[in-house]
Amino acid sequence: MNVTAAGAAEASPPLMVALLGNPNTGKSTLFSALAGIATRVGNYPGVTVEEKVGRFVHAGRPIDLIDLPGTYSLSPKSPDEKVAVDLLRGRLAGMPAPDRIVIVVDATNLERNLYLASQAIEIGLPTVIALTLGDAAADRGIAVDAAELSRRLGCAVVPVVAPRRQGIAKLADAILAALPPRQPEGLAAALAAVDPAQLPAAREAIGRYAWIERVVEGVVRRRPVARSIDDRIDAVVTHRVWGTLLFALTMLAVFTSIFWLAAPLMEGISAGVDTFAEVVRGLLPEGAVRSLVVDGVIAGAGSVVIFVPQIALLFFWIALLEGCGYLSRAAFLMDRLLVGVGLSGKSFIPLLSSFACAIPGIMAARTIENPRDRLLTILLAPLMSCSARLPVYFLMCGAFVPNVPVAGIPWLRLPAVVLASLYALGVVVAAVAAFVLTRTVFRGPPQPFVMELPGWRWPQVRIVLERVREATWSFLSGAGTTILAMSVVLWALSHYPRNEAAVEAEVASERTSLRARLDGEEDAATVADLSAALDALDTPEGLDAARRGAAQRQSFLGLTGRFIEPVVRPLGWDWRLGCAAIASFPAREVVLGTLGVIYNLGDVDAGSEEGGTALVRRLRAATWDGSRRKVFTLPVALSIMVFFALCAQCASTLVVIWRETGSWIWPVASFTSMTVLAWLGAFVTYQLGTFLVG
Amino acid sequence: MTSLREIAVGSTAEVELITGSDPTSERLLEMGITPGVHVRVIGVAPLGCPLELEVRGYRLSIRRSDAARVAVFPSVGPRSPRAGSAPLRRPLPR
Repeated sequence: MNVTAAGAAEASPPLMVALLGNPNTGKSTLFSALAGIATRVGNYPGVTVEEKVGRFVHAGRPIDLIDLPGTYSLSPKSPDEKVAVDLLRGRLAGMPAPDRIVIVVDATNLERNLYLASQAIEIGLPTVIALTLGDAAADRGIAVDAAELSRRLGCAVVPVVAPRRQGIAKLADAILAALPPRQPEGLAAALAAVDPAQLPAAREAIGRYAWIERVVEGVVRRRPVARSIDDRIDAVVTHRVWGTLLFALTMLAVFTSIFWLAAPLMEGISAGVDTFAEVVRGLLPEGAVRSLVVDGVIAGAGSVVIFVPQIALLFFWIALLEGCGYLSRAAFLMDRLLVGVGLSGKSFIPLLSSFACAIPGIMAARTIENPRDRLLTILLAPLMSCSARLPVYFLMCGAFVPNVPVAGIPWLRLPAVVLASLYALGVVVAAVAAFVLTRTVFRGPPQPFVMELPGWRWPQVRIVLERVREATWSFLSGAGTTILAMSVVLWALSHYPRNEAAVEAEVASERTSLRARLDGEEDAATVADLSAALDALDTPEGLDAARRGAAQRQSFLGLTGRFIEPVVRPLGWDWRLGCAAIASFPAREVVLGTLGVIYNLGDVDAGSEEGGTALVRRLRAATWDGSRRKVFTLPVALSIMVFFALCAQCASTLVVIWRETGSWIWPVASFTSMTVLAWLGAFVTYQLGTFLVG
Repeated sequence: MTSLREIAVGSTAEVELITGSDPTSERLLEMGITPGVHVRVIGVAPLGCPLELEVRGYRLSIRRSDAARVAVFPSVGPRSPRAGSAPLRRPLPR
């Protein structure tokens, strides 16, 4: 085989070859069999449609293989399809028309595949047809006479079994040798013969299919099979009971793996980053540079890499389910559920995964071809309560929601009801938002929902791994770099201005205020808490924590927290909570850590038992400045949780929204609307709670 | 006029015409649901919508509301051996 990797002698300019085909035809398998791993992945200019190019050399001639988005016809219905069509016709800005077209035609589904093929042949560029899935066709009792098909279509037809690389060299030979096709015999006549009373779109389809029926007659031979495998599998998979059960189990497996299986991997990454940070900390002299490198750059890089396990696992599942044909069945089963709010079944998996983390969920929206549905799914994903919100819920529920039975049912405890309500809140708000948005901003003609249910087949390991690699890499190189830059900026905002004198003054005033509160305090528990806090100021760690807390409160972020106090006051929050909410912007999961720093505990691990207890004790003791009134009451705890359930305080999510939509409008709109929603929700919760509880 | 949404699960019907000229109708035609072709209704999703169809030897799913725009001739039997293969040669209806 003389297909070699890129980098060989490249005397002549590369031959530009467009790979065209219907979705689900084994196009990506063929792409990797011909060109290996894509050498260039990016977006087409001006649109968010992915451009994938692979360079390979055949018979000394470098070839650039362009993987066009899968399309059913050359009259495009979506931006993906439009890109494919524009590129073939040489109408895509900055891209010349290709030198050759390779049309992937699925042997199991020849009639429908020939619809696109017949349109592409008419363009007149040198064309080769790659006849894929011949093995699957044989299993279904279908045999295709490739030589006869080639004669009738007027261009070369090369049967390939891409996973086993059969026919790949022959296909490459045919690409180099391809000549402009002669017009397919009888096609023009068939199109002209259609009843002129039919509408133009119908005329095209009727004429083409009439011609296709004649082409396949004698080319395709069907051996009768008793009951096809597809029939038997589909009967189970779409069955009312078994299908639903299988679906629930599959989704459970997907969700479990991104929710729990990813956790140890993420902890491992986190521990690795921490160890590395400590090593670097030891190597650098104390000062702003060390803090920038350790707390800014390394911590920022860590906060990017931490998402990789979830992204990789989710895309592993998506590629697996897509590869065997289940992904569209899952959309089929769930469609009804989402139609009501204006979406389709394809949004189900992206939204479900968002309960683990919105970032892989938003990326999974790539599987939705319809641009409106995709955008809407991306915007709704952050409303699903992700795992990063869970520690906040757990801490607040555990510390401030009384553990009493609800409605007299002994096992139904209030904290559990609150937790469930927070999850429900996100879903309900998302449903209402979808309902409203599809009737206002996203109003438009109904988008076609005509979804192919591809034949069942075994997923290709190589394709699955390639998909995982692609998703991970696109996250790291695209969103990752921006998230890292943002972390550094946020580091600077939480570290500057540094005014040592002001920090010392604040620590001193803290001491005075603690003493003043201790004086005349009668409640024994409060006395114990206050004296513990006071004693802590005399230990080196306690003093350091107090200094760090003061420094953070006086940083730009902290100052913003004070500045916005009038805004958060109606939510029952003091300015420290405002600070914590703002400081949690780099990533929601840091909010507890931020609370720890702001409340002078230094770095606490709120997830650990002692760290959590220490934080809870400190929060319980917290009072409004200059008064003995407690900050954290049940209504305040509820208002905090509702705020975090609805807000978009996650810079990484916003960056990923930007990457996936290709526009800054959407993350800005998402942040603004979610913050307003969160504020309103927290406001109503606090006011209503105060009114009811007092 | 009978539409595809009224066809019982397991039955096959012959398409008469597709009404409408919006992208959905166009897509249905492009996917091979053209006058004269045989469509078998394989099943319905557990929640009652969408439908699973077999046409021209492959499967696709469309919503009930979209199935209403596919006018069909009355059912040609529960299990036509020719379903999904070559359509009947019959003059194209208006």
